[in-house]
Amino acid sequence: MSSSKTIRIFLIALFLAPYLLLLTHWNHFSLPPFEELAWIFKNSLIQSILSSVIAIALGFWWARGLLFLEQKLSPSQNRGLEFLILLPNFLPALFLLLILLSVITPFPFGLTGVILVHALMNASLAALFLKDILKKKLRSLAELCWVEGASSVAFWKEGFRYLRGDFFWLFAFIFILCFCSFAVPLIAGGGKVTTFEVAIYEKIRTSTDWGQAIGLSYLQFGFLLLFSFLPSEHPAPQRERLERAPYLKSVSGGVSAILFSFFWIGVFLWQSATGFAKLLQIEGLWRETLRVIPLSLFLSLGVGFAILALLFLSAYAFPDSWLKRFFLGFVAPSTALLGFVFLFLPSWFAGDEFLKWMIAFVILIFAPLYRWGWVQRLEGLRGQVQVARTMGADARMIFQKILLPQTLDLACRLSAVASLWALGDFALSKMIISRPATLALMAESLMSSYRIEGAMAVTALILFFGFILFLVFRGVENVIRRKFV
Amino acid sequence: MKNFLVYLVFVFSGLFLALYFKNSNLSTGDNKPTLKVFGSSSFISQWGPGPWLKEKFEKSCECHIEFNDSADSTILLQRLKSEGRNGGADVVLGFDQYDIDNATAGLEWRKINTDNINFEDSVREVLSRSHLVPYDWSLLSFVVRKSDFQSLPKNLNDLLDPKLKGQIVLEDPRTSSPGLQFLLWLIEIKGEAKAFEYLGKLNQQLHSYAPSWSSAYGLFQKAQAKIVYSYVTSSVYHLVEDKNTDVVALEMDEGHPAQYEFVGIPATCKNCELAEKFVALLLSKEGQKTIMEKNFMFPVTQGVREGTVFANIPNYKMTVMEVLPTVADRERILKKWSQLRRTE
Repeated sequence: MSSSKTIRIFLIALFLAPYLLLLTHWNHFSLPPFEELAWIFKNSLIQSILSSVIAIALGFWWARGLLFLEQKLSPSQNRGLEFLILLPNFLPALFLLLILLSVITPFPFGLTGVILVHALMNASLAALFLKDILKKKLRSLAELCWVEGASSVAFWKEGFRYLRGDFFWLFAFIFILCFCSFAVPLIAGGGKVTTFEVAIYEKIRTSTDWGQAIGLSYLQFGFLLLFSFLPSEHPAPQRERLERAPYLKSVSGGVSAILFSFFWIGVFLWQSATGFAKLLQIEGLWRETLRVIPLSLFLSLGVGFAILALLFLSAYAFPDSWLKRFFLGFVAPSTALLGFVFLFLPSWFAGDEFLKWMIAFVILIFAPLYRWGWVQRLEGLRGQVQVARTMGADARMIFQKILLPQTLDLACRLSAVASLWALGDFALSKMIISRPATLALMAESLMSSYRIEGAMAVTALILFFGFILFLVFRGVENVIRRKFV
Repeated sequence: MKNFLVYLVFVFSGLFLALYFKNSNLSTGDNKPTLKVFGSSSFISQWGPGPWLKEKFEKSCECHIEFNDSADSTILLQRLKSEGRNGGADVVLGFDQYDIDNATAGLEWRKINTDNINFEDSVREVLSRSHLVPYDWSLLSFVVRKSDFQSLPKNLNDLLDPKLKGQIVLEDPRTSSPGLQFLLWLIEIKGEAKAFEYLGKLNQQLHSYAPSWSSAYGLFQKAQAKIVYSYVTSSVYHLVEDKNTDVVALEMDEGHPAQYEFVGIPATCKNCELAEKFVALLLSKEGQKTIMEKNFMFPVTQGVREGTVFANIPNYKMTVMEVLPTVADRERILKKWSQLRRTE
C-alpha cells in the first residue's frame, strides 16, 4: 500500500472515529417529529444562506480594501491588520455580543441578530480568502481590461463570471460554518432560533434524549456531506504581482477594513479596562493567571502544529477527489457529543485529558480550515502535480518541490488561526479538561462567579497571547522555508 | 520530506515530554488515596470554596482531593451512568432539585448521615426527597441597581411598565436553571394558562433571553440591562467585593422560588468513607461558612449566617413548590415556551 493511500485511510479513520464511537455507546437513535425537524432545518438553512451572502458581500469589499492597504502598509503592519480583522472569530460569543450591544441598541435578537453576528464574524474570513483569490487570479484580466479601456462594471462582470467557482467554494465554507454554529444562535437567537446545534444541546439538556441528539448529529453530517458535492471545479490560480492592478483595489474598502478591525479591539479593550484592575484585586487571580499561561500556550501550540502536520499530510496525499469531498462536507459531531466520546476513551488509548482535548479539538476544526482556502490552493497546483507525475516524480518529490513551497504560507496561517481558536476554546475543554487549567476555562469560571470584568481582562490576555502565537507561526514559516524549501 | 518529518517528530516529542513531566509534577507520588470530587467551575476554582475545603480536608484525612469540573449536570449524570465504577466519582456537587429525578433514575446513591445536622427550616422540605443532601441554597428574584429607579418594582405587573421595555434580562429556561426556575415558579403562582399569558406580555419587555446565568448577569453588570433574574444573595457579592450597596434584589409580592444545590455520594464510589467525611466537612459550621462566603449562597445549617452580612438580607417570602414537575412535564412546558417565542 502506498504511503499516500495509508495517509488517506488514516485521515478518514481519524475523523470518522467520533461518529463510530458514538455508535458504540448509543446504537439506537431517533429524530424529532417532522414539524420540529422542519423548523430546525428552516432556521439552520435561512440563517446560513443569508449570513453567507452578506459575509461574502462585505468580505469582497474588505478584500479590495486589504489589497489597497497591502501596498500602503509595511509587511508587519499588514500582518497586524490581518490579526485584528480576524478578531471577531476569536472573541467568545458573549463578549462579541456585548460589543455589538454597546453599538446597536436595541439589538435585534432572533434570526436577524444571528445573521448579523454571523455575517460580521465571517466577513473577515471571507475578506482574507478573497484577497488571495483576487490577487492571484484577476490581475491579468484587470490589466487587459485596463488597456482595452473597459469600464469597471464590464471588468467585474467578467471577473465575477471567472471567479464563479471560487465564490461558490467560499459560500459553501461559510454556509457550513454558520450551519454548525452553536454559540451565536444560542445567544443572539434569544430563544427564537433553534438550529441543529441548539436543538442537539436542547435534546441533551432538556429532554435528556441522547438518542435524538445523536440522530440530529448524524442527519446534520449527512446533509452537509451531500452538500459538499455541489461546488464545481475551478481554474488554477496564478501568481501575480500586485503593483499595477487596476479595478482590484478599493480605498473605501481599506478604510472600512481598518475601522472594522480597530472597532472590535478598541471597544473590547475599553470595556475590559476596569477588569485589569480587578486582576490585581481578586485574591490569587494574578498568580492563577500566571500559572495557567504556560499550559494554555503549550496546548494551543500543540493544536497549531497538529493542524500543520495534518494539512501537509493531506497535501502529501493529494490529489485525491474522494478525500477532498470528504473534508469539504465533514463536520465533527456537536461539541457536547464530541466531548462525551473523548471522555470515555481510555487513557492508554488517547492519553491524558490534555492530549484528548488536543485530538478532539483538531477533529473539530480541521475541516473548516481545510475548506478555508486549503483545498483551493491544492486544486490550483493540480496541473503542476500532474505534469510532475507524468515526468516520473514520486509523491515525496512532488510534495517537497511543488506543494510545500507553494502552500507553506497558507498552512502556517491556518495553523496560527487554529492555535488562536484553541487558546480561546472553553466549550470543548470544559467537557474534557477537569479543572480550570487554561486561560479560557479561567475566564469562564470567573464569569460563573460574578467576575465578568476579571473574565474580560483574562480574555484580553488571550488576545495578546493569540497575537504572539500568530507571530510564532510566521516564524515557523520562515524557518521551514529556510531549511526545507 | 524526511528532514521535515524529523523536525515535526522532534517538536511533538518535545511538547509531549513537556506535558508528561508537567503531569508527573502534578501526581502525588505517594500511596494516599485520592478522593474524586465533581463540582462546578465556580466551586472548584481558586476563588470558590473548593481550595479551602481541599486544604482543610487534606490536613486530616491522609488523602488527596482531586477536583473535577462537572460541566453540565445532564452531561455529568450521563457520564456517571456510563462510567459507573470505572469513573471513580466519590462526591458529586451541584445538582439542583430539578436534576434529582434524572440523578436517581438509573443511578444509586449512598445514604448520607445527617442526624446531627441542624438544618434551616427553609431546607427541610427538600431533605427527604432522595439520598442527595442540600449544601447551599438561595431564593431567586430580580436584581437591580437602586440608582436606576425612582421606585422599585414590587410585583410582576410592575415589570410590565413601558419604561422598563428592553431592560430586563431573563435566562433561557432550556439552557439555564434560573431560567427554568422562573418559568416553573410563574406557572406555580399563576397557573399555566395565565402564566403564559403574562409571559407573552413580559417577553415584549425583555432585553434578551441569555443562555446562562453568567451571560445574563454579565449583561446586567455591563449596564446593558437594568434588571436581571438572579439570586437574592447576589447583592452580597457587590457589597463584599465591590463595596457597592446599590445592587439589591427586589422583594416581590408574589414570593420567590428557591434553588437548592445538592451533594451526593454515588453508590459506585471507591473511597466511600472518605466521601462521607468530606460531606460532613461540607455540612459543618466551618464548611458552611466558607461556602456561604465564597459561593454567595445561603448555608443550609443553622447558626452560620449570624454576625455576617448574610444576616442582613431581608426575609424574602418563599414560594413553596408542593410538587415538582416531572421531566416529561418540563419538556412539554419548554416546548410551549419555544412555541410562544416563535410566534412573537
